Amino acid sequence: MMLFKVAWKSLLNRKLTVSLTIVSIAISVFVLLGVEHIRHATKSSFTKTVSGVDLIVGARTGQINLLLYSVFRIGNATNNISWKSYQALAANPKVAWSIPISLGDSHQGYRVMGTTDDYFNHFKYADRQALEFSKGHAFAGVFETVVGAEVAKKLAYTVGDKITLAHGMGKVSFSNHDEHPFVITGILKPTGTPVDQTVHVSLQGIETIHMGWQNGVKIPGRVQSQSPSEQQQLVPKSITALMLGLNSKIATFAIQRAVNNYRQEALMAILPGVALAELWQMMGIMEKVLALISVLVLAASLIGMSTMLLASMEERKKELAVLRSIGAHSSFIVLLIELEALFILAIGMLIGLLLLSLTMVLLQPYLSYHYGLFIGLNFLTGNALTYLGVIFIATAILALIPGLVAYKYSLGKSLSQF
Amino acid sequence: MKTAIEIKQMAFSWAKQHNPIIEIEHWQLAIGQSVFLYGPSGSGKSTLLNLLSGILVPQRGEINLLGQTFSLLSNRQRDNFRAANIGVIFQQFNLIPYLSVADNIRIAVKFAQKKKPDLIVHEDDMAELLEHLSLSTDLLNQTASQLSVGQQQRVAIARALIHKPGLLIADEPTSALDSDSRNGFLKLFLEAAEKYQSSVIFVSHDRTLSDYFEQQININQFNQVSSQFTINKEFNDAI
Repeated sequence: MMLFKVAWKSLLNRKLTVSLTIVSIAISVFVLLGVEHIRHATKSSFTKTVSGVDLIVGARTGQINLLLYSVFRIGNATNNISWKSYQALAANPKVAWSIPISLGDSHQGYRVMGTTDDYFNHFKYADRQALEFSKGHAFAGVFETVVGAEVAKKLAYTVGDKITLAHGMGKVSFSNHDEHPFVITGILKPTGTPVDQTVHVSLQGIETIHMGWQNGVKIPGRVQSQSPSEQQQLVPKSITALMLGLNSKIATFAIQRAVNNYRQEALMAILPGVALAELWQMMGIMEKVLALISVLVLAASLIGMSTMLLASMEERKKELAVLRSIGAHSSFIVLLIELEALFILAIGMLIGLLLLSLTMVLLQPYLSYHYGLFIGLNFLTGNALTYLGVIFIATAILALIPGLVAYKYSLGKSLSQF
Repeated sequence: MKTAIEIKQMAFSWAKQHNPIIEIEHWQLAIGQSVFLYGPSGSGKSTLLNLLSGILVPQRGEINLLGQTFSLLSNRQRDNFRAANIGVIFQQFNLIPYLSVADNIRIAVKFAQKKKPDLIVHEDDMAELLEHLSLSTDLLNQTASQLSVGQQQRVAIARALIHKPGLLIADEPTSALDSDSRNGFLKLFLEAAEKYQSSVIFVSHDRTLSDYFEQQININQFNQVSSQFTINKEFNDAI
């Protein structure tokens, strides 16, 4: 096709301006689809973190705060729940299972969570997926631990390794529980949730290492040694939060109300799904701002392309006059400009998509390591294809500006060299 | 006998309320004839060429080209008519700079084929035409912008004649050439036009070239709007 050849050669003739325009389109396509993809992936990764848990119970606080520290291991609890309250709740006939959670210690920056066997039996993530071991088994003894997939991978741990826990958070801690090393008995399979970044120990383990501590400080000489059998019998005074599974979903609200009205202690129960939705909604504004910015970036670069084509029109007048003189219709000239714009767009888009896939491949390990985000590599799903279609149409419309200017020239004397 | 150009009671102005800048009662050019058209700037030469090539349309009267009432055709029909029947050579910018010489000629053939489906141009035909114009056939694969101005102007003749148009319009095609190559160009131009049986309308300031042509016409002889008036009118409009 002559038209294609002319359009293509014409672009090659203006390599510098055209390639700069292509770069700007590539960047904006990259930003738009990148933001869209990460948004999508974050949302799905986010909602996958907990499933099958009917209620989460903690000390009275905001429901998002409770969700953040109990599920995402972000932030800290304002208060604890007494062991008595836990026992009372767990004994409720409507409760099928309960998972106590005790937080507050860390290992190399990874959070340590005290819990029971029930965690491995009942906790579910994603689509009601149970936790599975890639190596070893659940902890049985007081000084045994199960680590998440990422903890094991990053710190190169394997079953049988000994680790010490630190009091509080942070990679560097000045108060270590170094007198009580823990042995790794199991490593969990990757889940793509905060579980991967958690070190799990028994509640008794947590109790034992804190014996003789007061107000978060180790008091020398106060540490009494206990026999292993004594340690096994230790009962924690309090826990941080607990997750509940009910016999019947219908009881959910009744139990929630009962917890919220519990007289002995100020407690609250939240529905994980509802709290997740509320949390996501809070992030929704950010998400919309990001989407808006990327749309604006794209609009700017498309208008830039249109400007570039428009600016070139003056120097191309003579060339267009030649085309007219050999019998090209005015519409041929409009089509020529349109085609040039679409060529630029197609190449820019292709480069943007390549750039995005490359970035995804490089960024994926980092995101999963630092943010527990598992981002799939296939970003050409759903909205992305719609976006690409809309971009094509927008380009065709914007290219009409220089196209119609050329058309107007071509009808009058201004596009004549006589 | 069919005429190459016949103009009857034609008037053209830029807008209806303006006075016409060109007004021709009657003028004709016989087929196969060549005419040298001269006149001071502002006398309406360019406008006449735009009217003859169909870029502009007269408000009144008619223009007949090769037996066709050109001025009554639609825009699209005029474009197609021009593609098939008119060859145009401008002062110096005649080729699409980023296309090869061969592609420049081919694209003209492509447009002409819409109205002349039996027009077939082989590589050999292009090479032969270039040889007639004293151009190396190696030029065919070169990008037009790499050629010298003199070469480009001769390729322009080839491009304008390749589809054997009945009418060849040239607007000062020699103005960018030095005086030595000017005569050579003009000879090649007229020979080629004769070979392809095209009528020629050639516009120039340079009266020394007029001897090569069968007719010489000062545009003021038949344009009833005097150039003096036009200039005054434009001057008045400006204030």
